[in-house]
Amino acid sequence: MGVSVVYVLRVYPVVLFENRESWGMLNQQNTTVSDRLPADIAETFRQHGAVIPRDVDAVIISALDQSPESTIVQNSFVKRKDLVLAGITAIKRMVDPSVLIFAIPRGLKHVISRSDECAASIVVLNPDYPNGVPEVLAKRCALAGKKCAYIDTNRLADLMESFLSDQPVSKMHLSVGGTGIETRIVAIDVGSTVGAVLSDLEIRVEAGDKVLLGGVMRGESCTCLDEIIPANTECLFVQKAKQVVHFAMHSCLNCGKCIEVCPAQLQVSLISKYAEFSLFSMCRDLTPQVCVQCGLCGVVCIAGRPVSQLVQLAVQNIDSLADEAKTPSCNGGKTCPKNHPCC
Amino acid sequence: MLLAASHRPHIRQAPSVTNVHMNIMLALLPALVLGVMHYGWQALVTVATGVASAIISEMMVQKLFRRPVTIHDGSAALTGLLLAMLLPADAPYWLIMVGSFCAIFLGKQVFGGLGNNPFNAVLVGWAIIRLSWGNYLHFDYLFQGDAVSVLHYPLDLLKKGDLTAVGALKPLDLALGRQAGGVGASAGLALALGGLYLILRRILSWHIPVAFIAGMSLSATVLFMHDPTRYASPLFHLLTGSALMGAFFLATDYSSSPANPWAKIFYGAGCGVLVIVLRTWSNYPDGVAYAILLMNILVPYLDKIHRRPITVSMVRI
Repeated sequence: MGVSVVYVLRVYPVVLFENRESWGMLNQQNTTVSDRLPADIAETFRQHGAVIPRDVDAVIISALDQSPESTIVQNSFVKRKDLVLAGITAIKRMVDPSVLIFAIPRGLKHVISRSDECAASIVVLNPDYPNGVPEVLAKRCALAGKKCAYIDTNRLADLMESFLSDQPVSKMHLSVGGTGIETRIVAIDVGSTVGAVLSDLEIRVEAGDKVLLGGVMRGESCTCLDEIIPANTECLFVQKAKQVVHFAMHSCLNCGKCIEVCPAQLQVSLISKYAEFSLFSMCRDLTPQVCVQCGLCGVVCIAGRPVSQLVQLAVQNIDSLADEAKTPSCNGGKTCPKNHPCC
Repeated sequence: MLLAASHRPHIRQAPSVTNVHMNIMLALLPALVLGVMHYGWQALVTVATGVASAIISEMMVQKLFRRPVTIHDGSAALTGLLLAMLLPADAPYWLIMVGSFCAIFLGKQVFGGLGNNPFNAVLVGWAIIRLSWGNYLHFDYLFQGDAVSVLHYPLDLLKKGDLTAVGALKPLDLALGRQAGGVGASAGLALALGGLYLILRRILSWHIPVAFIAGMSLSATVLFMHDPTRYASPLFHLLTGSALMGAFFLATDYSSSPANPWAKIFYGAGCGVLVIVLRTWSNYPDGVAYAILLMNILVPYLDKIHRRPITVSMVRI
């Protein structure tokens, strides 16, 4: 008890074993993109729902995993390095940003050798959570306040594979694990259901368990096993009923741990107290909308409050107040029943 | 099949409220043991009375207000323990009980329970009994053994201006609790070790204790260097009265101290300076309790000293 958060959320960038499916279809094929038209590459990206950003200051390609228990992004980087490097070149040709960064976890520094041509400047970072979260990554690369775009190596390699083989992405790689279950990386068909993948891997799900799509820190709970796994899911985690955490609306103790741990440097405890009592107008100055939704505040709260949820409540209700002010019935503020100083 | 579903995060890695209070009581144990060894069994009875009356008061008050009874979280026990450790070993039982009740009722429950108190509950109780029945809080200790001798409260000696007697006290004696003082507040070294344990287990952050001690040392040094015949040394100030108890256990109460790190530093330093100011120029021999209560008033303002939020505009490809 009283354990440091970083200790247990440490990501060990040791490349895991692979099983069943082989990695990518293009291990030995040509991955040069310098002679292909940027417009063609952009078209493939668009077909898979990838937004090509215009007028961004920086693009970050990340080999860091967003979730502490998943290693899919790091594995993609190691196993499909050529595709990743080709992808970086492709992005440079399509977007041509002023800053192009390739973020690599510390333990995988050796993967890029001198002979590899990398169009991006390489930044080596500590892979511990929440450094993998895109907004926090941008902050660590000193890009706070700039407009950034983000893509991880797993997605980039999938898109490049699709472009170079002229086939749509039909397989996706997932990190599958659970309480007491060893994490494995598997390749599944796009469009598989959660239940099918779990039963294929012989992972039992009982009543009261939580099935998470996207990791223990940022994932969303799956409500039905017949749900199709969404396209950008990186990990699947089955949490046993006994491990499911319960929050309670205890009073905030004002210990300051949430403030200490927040990567966006917000006054988290104060926002949560205002949101608890629906004083959303007082939250505005505290700018809860810059919350990156890493969830660390809820993890460290001694009182067991649903802090992350309260901050999101504040964010949603601040928006609705703004919408309320823009309704035509307020008549430019002259007949505003609530006397809003907005128009 | 019904699956559990909720919003992120899906893990928790924090000690519970009960765990935190138990750890703080564990950290107070060495000082209590030294106090009992020095003052005898009466000290243990004092502490037991304090803890029991605090727990019973909280149960009574919560039942009266029809709130859920939360004595299992250890906060009432901790309040009673801290209050008893600030009192002399021969404090009358009724005084301890009234003090505990006031600490729980007026210091905590009236504001809404744990986490809502703007003032340190222990010190509210202490201040009430100090102001109302101050003549019962005499710390001079009567040794009745082969020879009857009186151990004087060091800060009383300082207030009277008896600097030679003050200088005669050895720092090691003071640190190990061989002085007249509160039951648990006398053993400075044990309290510091307990505080260090809490800092290492991340229950306390280092900012308040370090700033408190630094504030006290700096202001005491300034006065001492100006005139050593009128003012005591910083080491004397740190090891007497409830200075180290205040630094590690009283000023660091979660609800009545700031949440932001720099605010904590200013708060601790302010407490430290005020302690020396009150010890030197007020009517009271020890200013720790009042210094902390005064700084508690400033906590909402101090909490405005914080880092600006970082905005990152990010789009996913």
